[in-house]
Amino acid sequence: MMGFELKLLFRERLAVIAWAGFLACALAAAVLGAAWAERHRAALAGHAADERFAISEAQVAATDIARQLILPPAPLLDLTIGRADLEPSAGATSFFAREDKLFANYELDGPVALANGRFDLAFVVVWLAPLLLIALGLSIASADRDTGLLRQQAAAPVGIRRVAVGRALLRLVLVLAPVALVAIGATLAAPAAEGKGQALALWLLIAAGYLALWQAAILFASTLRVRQEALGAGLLAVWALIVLVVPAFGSATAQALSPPPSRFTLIAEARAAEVAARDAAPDLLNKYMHDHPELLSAGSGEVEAWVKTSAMTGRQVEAAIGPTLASFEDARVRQRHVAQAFELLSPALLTHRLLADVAGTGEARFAAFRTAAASYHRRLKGKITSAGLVGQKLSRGDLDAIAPLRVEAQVGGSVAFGTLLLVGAALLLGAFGAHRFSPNRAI
Amino acid sequence: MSAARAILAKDVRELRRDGRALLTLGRVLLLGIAALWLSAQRMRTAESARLEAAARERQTWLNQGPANPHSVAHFSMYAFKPQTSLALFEPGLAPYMGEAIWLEAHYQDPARFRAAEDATEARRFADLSPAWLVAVALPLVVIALGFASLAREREQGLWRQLAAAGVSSREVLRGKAGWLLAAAVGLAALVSLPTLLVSAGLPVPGDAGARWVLIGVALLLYAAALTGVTLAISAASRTTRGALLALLAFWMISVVLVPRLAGTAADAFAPVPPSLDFWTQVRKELREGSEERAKRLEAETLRRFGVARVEDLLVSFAGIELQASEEHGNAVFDKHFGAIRGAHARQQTLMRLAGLVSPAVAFRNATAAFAGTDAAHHWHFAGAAEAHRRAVVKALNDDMTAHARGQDFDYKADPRLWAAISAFTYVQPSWTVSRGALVDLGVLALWVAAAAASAFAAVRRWRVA
Repeated sequence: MMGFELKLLFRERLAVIAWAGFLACALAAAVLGAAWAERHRAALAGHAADERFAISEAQVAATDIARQLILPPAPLLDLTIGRADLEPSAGATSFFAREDKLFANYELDGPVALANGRFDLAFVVVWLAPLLLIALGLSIASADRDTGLLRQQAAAPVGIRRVAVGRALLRLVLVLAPVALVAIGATLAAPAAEGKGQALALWLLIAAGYLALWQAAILFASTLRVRQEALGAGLLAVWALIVLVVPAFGSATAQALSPPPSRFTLIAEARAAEVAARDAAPDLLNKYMHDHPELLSAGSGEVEAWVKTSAMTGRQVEAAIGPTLASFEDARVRQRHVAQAFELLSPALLTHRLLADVAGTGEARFAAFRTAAASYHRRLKGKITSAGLVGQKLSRGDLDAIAPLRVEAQVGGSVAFGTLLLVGAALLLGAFGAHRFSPNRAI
Repeated sequence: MSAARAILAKDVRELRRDGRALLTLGRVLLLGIAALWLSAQRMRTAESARLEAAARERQTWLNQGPANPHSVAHFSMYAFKPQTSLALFEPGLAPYMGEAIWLEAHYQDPARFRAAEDATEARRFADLSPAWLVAVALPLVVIALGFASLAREREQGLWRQLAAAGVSSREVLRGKAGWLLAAAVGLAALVSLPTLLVSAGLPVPGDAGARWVLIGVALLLYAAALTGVTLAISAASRTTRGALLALLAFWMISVVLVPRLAGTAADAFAPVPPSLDFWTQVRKELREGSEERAKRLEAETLRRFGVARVEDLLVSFAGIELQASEEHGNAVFDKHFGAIRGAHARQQTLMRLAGLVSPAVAFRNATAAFAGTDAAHHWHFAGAAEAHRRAVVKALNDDMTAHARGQDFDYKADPRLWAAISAFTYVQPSWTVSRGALVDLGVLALWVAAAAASAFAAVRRWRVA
């Protein structure tokens, strides 16, 4: 039956064109995604190997120490670029670094791709795949109803419910299979990464849950006694609502309810604090030495005055702008919460977030990276500031004793809940749609 | 009454009777007002914070007290990018290009703090603004209103009756096009014009009138192109169903697929080097030949001042060295930032080409350019900031050269020097910095011409049939 149905479906030239177009989009997304990911990985590898950060001598002056801050490439970067093209994945800290400038001067990317979003496989799943499902789904029952064939099918022993559910499943497989094959191929072609297989399995499950939810909605809509074009227009309106309107309002509401503080204000605050701290540097240094009496006997070299001033100024500025920097993170967290509330209205928004979280390119991982980087910077500075102020040298062992930068984004629970929500909703709506496929209701 | 006008009157009457159309228009309008209100709130807050921060920044600069000019050059100042009221209508690429540039000594920095980084990822799904709404929703409204307009006449055989009454297919087309275009333009105007009302208090560029006229032309051409495409497809379709499906496919390709594909492809074909590689290369070139340059500079300076030793100079050689190092750096930055700017321009050119496939892309290219939120305007700002950086650093180095003899980095300049150095002020350029966007208007005009020709050709085939 499936073979016959397939032949019937692809007898329509438009269906063949739509499916082939979709396949081409999936392949293009994989190629473009992989190309970008490769550039990203190469840049990070270059940064990791940068000799400015190498410690070749046994002992190094604290003021010469600089360490990289690197977020390892995401396991499924090739499939979902997510925030990786917008947020920094690499920075540096040193004796002279300040928390507000750990990531600096990275904003060179072409704005056109950033503004329009990346054409990656996640985009194909979230945006394009439902459109293909809608196009193919018009012939689940609606086309037959328009031509009167549905009445004849109802009289046949096989029953219209079985036919409709079978057709819906076939169309779902037709859309899901290319996505899955391309995703698996792209992941295999990418360099090995820890947890990649598990992430891919989850990524595919989320994609399948999302597309199954769409197909369930289409199956349900096919039970409505409306003409094919009205069904198509209606489903497209639902698509526009879910993929465009709700996310747009979600984003705008999140920004309106939890606006971040002004970056201009942050700059002005930091600079005013810098000038004030520069004037007070001698007093600050005296206080610091008073608080660290162990340093008075630890000196091993001459330290220039500007180094001391710089260290004290940096500390003071970090203390002054700390609350503002924290309020940026708070605003981002609150915005994410508002946006996540809108995910209940938009499975597209939910799926997009889940795919990015599983791929390792979601907002949560970048937030965790920023937090971990700031924390590592504070640990390192704690060690090298004291040493630098008295001209002490440090060994590689001293630096290795500092707890390394570790990024742990806690997304497991949220991903599990979201995935269950998608799959559960798909099963429920699918069962309800199938149930409605009785001759009384559907014809 | 001519046949075209009679058809127009009949279609408008039908539209009024059919509440769905008015409902659709109402919904789009409501969305537009909400979009505008939210954008206005955001911009007003950002602009007042910018002005406050700029004033505070100037005070900080003036209150530095006696200091060495070179340490002041390191501290330097910031250039804050202003937004104009037109960004309310079309934020364009501005949220992705940074809004503050540090004018520090030794380095040309890119603009920091991209607004999009402080927003959720949902923003990249859709950025609610009037221009976005026109680009995305207007085609849907035109399709909803017009997909059946010609296909139904043909499907239901009404065309035969009209032909029998002596009405030409051209007149039918003119009548249909008239009201559909009026509806499209009216809706675009209803979504766009309130921008003028809510933009009070926001900075207005000097040539705002010209910019609005050009945006108006883009709106008109976009509405006409959509009308033309809708009628052409409706006329060519045998059934209303076929017309609807084909038009929805057109919308999907034009509004959803092409902008993203073109943006990503532009980035792949005209790549910008990753920032980590960029700075590695810049640092390398800044260092290259530094010893030879220093020797050459010393010899040239001694010859110029007619002395045998640096100690005999009547000026500070440290100041001369610093300025020479800046000049070497400036050449390096011109080369590398020029390459970035070139890559951005090539990406824009590729987006222009994408306009040939998608009128929505051509429309957004044009509106971003005329609203002053495209890459060309950003680079104009970055250029002005860089020119100011070079002037500030040179003034400080010159002061050091003139007054720091024998003291060099221990010399402290009088704070009156800070007051003598002007704050960064920026005047929005004329729209002509983005005159390339006239090509986008040309592309939209091409769409209008091609769609109109296709529609006329399609109805001519009716007559033959």
